[in-house]
Amino acid sequence: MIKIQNVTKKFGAQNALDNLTLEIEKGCAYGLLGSNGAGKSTLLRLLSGIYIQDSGSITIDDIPVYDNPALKEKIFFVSDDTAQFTGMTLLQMKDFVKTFYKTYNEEVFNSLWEILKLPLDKKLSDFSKGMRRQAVVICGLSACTEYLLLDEAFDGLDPAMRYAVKQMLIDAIIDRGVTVIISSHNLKEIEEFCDTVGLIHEGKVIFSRELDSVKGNIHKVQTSFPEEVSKEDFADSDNIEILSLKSSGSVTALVVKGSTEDIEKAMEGKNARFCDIIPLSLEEIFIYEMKGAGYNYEID
Amino acid sequence: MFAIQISGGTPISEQLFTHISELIISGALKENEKLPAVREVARELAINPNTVQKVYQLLEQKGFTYSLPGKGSYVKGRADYQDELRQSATEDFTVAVTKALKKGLNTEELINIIKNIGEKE
Repeated sequence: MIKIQNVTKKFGAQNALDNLTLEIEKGCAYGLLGSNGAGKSTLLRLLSGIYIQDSGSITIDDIPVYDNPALKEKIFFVSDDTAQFTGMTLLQMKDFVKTFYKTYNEEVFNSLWEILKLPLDKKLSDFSKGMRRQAVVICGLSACTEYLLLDEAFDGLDPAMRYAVKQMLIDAIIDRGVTVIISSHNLKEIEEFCDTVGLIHEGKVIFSRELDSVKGNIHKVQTSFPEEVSKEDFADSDNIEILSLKSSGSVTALVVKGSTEDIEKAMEGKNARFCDIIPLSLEEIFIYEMKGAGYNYEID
Repeated sequence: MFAIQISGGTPISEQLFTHISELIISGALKENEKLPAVREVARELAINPNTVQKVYQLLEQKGFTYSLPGKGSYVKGRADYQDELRQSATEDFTVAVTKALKKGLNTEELINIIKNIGEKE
């Protein structure tokens, strides 16, 4: 298990991570969400031991990551910027990975290469961005590490390649129980691929939970009350939280945290004439949670 | 293979569970038929295998399937999930009746509707 406890990381006066605490279970596919500059990449770099935190602790299976070569062998980090390998050919990069990771498996490399058929003796600097990304991902999978960190991994891949890469990751999850941590702006992809998601904003965790419990627990409600109702009127309703309430004529639209049953009960308590409850997509949840965290994007 | 359109806010696991249980109830998946392996489903839909595994466990828990260690999940007979069907039918019915009452139908009218449907079936 990965434990990040009270970690602060500064760049100059800027807090990239601000007393951040997060736990990631072994064997899960963790989706890391956040606005631009939220601290996602910084977090992944700290996890892979590229940076050291200013304070707090980062451990994997209770062992600190930084300056620990034995532990680093268990982690492969696919950075969003693949510049470090551009002087190499794929063959050279593969050999580099092989010398560093004892768990490297040539058979895995060959079978993945068979699918993507990337040129072996061309410099990566001559590859397109997407091909470069594919090259690093197959090296990462061939390293057969316990932890695979992917920073915006699907970006720059075309849909067919994304599908192929996801299938490779799915095999790695089933065959080796690899823990995958993936940051992305593509919420649909995270929604499909991950079982746990975390949202960070300004270096802090907004939430980190199983995807099903995130998604099943926040709803859009359309209803109509006989009398005008405000957010505060629901203060006494059990197990729900009104995130927003907008009325237009006699129709009221709300965003509510809570189960369908509890929401229905609360609406009935206010004598709602009808009540349509629709679960929010991850994208909508993202927007509402970010708004709650003071990230206002609205252009009225 | 399962053809689900992953969309909207309903959790993927819920969509997959509904889809497979409907296939079982309708008889499209027959008693003792083997469900596709977790890997097959996960790869095909490009979704997390843990999600598929969870759905398979729930199907077993609800009496829709049984599993043979090392072999996979198989569809159970109708008698085994009849209780589950009755319970979910009762829930659906309760919701529909509550809505109809709110919209102004009275119990007598509802009983007549039930009788009419019953005669046709």
